[in-house]
Amino acid sequence: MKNVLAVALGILSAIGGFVDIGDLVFNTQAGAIFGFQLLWVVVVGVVGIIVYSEMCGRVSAVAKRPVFDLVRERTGFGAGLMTLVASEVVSLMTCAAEVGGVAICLQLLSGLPYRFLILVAISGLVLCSWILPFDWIERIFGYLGLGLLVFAVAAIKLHPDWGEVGRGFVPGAHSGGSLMVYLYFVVGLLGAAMTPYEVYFYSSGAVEDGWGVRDLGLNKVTTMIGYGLGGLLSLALMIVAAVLFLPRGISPEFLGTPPLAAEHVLGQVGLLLALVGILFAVGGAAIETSFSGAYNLAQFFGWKWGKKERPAGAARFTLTWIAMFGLAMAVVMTGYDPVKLTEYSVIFSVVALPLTYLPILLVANDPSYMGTNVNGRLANTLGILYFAIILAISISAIPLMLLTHGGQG
Amino acid sequence: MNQTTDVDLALGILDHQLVDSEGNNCGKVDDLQITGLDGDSPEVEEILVGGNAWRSRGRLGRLAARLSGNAVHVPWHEVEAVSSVVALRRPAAEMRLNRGDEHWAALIRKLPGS
Amino acid sequence: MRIGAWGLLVLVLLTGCGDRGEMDAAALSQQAKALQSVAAEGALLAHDAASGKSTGVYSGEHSAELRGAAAQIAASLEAATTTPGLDPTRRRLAVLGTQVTSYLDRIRDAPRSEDRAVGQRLAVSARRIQTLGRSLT
Repeated sequence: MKNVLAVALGILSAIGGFVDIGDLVFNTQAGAIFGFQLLWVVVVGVVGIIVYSEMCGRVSAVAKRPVFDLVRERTGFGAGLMTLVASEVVSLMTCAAEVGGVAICLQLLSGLPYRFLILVAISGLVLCSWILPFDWIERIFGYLGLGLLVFAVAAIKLHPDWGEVGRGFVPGAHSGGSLMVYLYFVVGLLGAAMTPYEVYFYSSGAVEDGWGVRDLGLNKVTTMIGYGLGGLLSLALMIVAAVLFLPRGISPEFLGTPPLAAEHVLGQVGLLLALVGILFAVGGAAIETSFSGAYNLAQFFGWKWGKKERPAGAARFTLTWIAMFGLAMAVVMTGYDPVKLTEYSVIFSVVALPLTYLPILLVANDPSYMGTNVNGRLANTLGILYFAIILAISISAIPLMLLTHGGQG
Repeated sequence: MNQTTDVDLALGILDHQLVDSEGNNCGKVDDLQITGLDGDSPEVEEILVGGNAWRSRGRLGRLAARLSGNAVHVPWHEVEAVSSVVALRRPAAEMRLNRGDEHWAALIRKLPGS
Repeated sequence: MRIGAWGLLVLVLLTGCGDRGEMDAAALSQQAKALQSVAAEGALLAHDAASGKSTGVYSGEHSAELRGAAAQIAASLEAATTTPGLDPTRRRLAVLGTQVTSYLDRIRDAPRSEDRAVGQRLAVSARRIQTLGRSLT
């Protein structure tokens, strides 16, 4: 019974932690422009992250080392360094966007000045990361991120035409805009769902949590049910935007726009749950990106790493995640719009996806690390299929972004 | 173990994780010093860790080397065992590894809760 | 390396980062769409505030963001030049932009009792902008 509870709590934490600022921005914009016509992309993206997260978790549980730790010895110094640089740049951009998102949420809740709230946000995030043990960070930010469930409730209460919604799961129509804009959002939605920092963090987190071969089932359940249900939140954001924003010609340019939808359907309570949910989902993502940057750097150079070492026990690792927050703060302090920054970070993350995902596929197939737990036929079929998808969107991301002026058409 | 096998072994552990006698990470095998390659009894002299050990690892390696200090030389006889990681006989500090952590830990320890 | 950086700069400039002086029908239509979106969102916000669904802080902060966007669009419409055929439309849009900006100011500054009226005015403005925008395509 206790085990079932632990698993359930893990799933809840995964749901609340699924959505980050990239998902918020792209899913809401996609719904406001194309209505239900891009719902199928969310499903594709969710399955993709499940496939690769499961691989990452399995590697950690069996090899007792995170995926990134094994990248350099598996692919060599040069290739490993390229993967490192790509993932560090993307992690930093994403971290800055998430920190900006936290500051905006705080502003919508408190009315205090934005730049002051950036300092508050960074202080809060650094303090949480310093003081709290790893599993507490996962829990607090994961559970409070569940405030986003208000969007699922709102989606249902808006009584969309469920027939139309169903048709949105079949790709085809793009009556909301040109084909190029449609494809841009396909790329953006997939990129927002399959962020590399998430799988690397998940992998290191599994080692922090001390996973072993006995946890392979837990890994499958957490990724499939946790991320699957988390994907429902992305769908809800798109549906709500489709019903509320599209008919009014509202194009969501601000982080404050999705909460408006929650407020419209569910009043003050809806608004506050939405704001708190976004705050912690995005805040949790800020910590994940900063730590992902620190994990990857430490693991490439072979340093001691991990929250379990306590700050002084892994000094260079600690300084790295603090530096990530510091750099993120510097970027956001310039006043650059966090929503625009989010769009760029998602697109660049897509460009780097092949470089960041290929090592996962290689390591998960390597019997010298995995023993009998190498990828089975299903994992490899899906893994290779998704790698092909990743290559396609990686090549087309920047051309589409330029052609459509960032989705403006 | 004859010397040829030692060299084969060493080449296989390039970029692998080094772990000291207390189980702590202490860098990766960044380069190897092998002598007598042109003769008939090549010997692995030592493992090079960090710093300008990356000099020989391609263009990116040279750039990385320029940004760091001197490599640490770990004599081959310090190697206890080779599996998925390379286990060393002694604690990191005794072999002058993990100096980076020691250097910065002094600063971090000044803060509460470290 | 150096060519890459310059090439990137050229690309960035080519993709356009905002207001250019000369606007054609497509650019005007874009501005109209953006302005209509801001007005419509402001109308929704104002109606919710009137119905007590919002909090003072949120409607104040979010309307300020919308107001900033509206002011920027109005300013670029004012400063822009266009063909003689399109100029009346441009001017009308610029005026509407200024109106929307002042209505959005009211959400923050005025008492709640005024919110419903402000919302209606914003909704009317949004429809007018939409009509103008449609005439451009």
